[in-house]
Amino acid sequence: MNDVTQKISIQSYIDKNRDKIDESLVSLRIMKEVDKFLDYKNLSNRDLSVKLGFSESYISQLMSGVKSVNVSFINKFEKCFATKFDFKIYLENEEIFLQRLDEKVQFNLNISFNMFFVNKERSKFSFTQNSKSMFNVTDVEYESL
Amino acid sequence: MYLNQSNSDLTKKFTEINRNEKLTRKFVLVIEAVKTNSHNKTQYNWEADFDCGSVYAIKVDTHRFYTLQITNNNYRELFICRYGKKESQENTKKLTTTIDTIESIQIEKIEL
Repeated sequence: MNDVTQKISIQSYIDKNRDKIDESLVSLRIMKEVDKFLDYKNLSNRDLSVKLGFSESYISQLMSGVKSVNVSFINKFEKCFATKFDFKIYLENEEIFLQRLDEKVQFNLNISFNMFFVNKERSKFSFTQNSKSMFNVTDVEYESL
Repeated sequence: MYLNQSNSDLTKKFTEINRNEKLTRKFVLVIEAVKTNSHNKTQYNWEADFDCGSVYAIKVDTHRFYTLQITNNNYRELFICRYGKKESQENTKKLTTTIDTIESIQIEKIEL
């Protein structure tokens, strides 16, 4: 395989699998936090696998992005280490979002809500309050602006 | 990202990885994770700091691509310099031999 072919093969792989790669990157963002936590606790991937009851190979696959993290893993992790994952949704252009809010709403958002997003089509903003996780949203409130 | 074409071990292994879709996927995931700063030590492990930058290991299964990371105008440039595995006497000896035989270094940029 010559140099040109090498370049094409990597780029064509990325182009062909863009969505799958992006999915893995979402999982890797979560696993990066897990990695930082393990550093903090001075634990290895092997220690984590033993504590959570997963195989070391599975943890390695999660860390390398080959497999994606799921809520079962997060649930076990939270229970095992008495921790809580905190998910936030950020707008692509948060400055514009904040400019459209009055000061009172901004203040309330800052102190009360840990998740919010915008519905561009309807020009309304919605947010969740005290949500337990990104995938298990309860206690939803909507507010039109 | 740059690849040191002067190192035959490295180019050989890089070609080998490119021929295997699973390994290509893992390699691409490391690079994309580094680009988005979502990498972890299992993928991209810090090895050492130098005046000119830091050395990291790109880990793809048992393969290790030792990479010099330099910050240039707020962009991270990765110079993949050497292929290796975990540190051992044999590897250290090989590395020393390789360094001693280097006369010139030819680097090619890979657009991603």
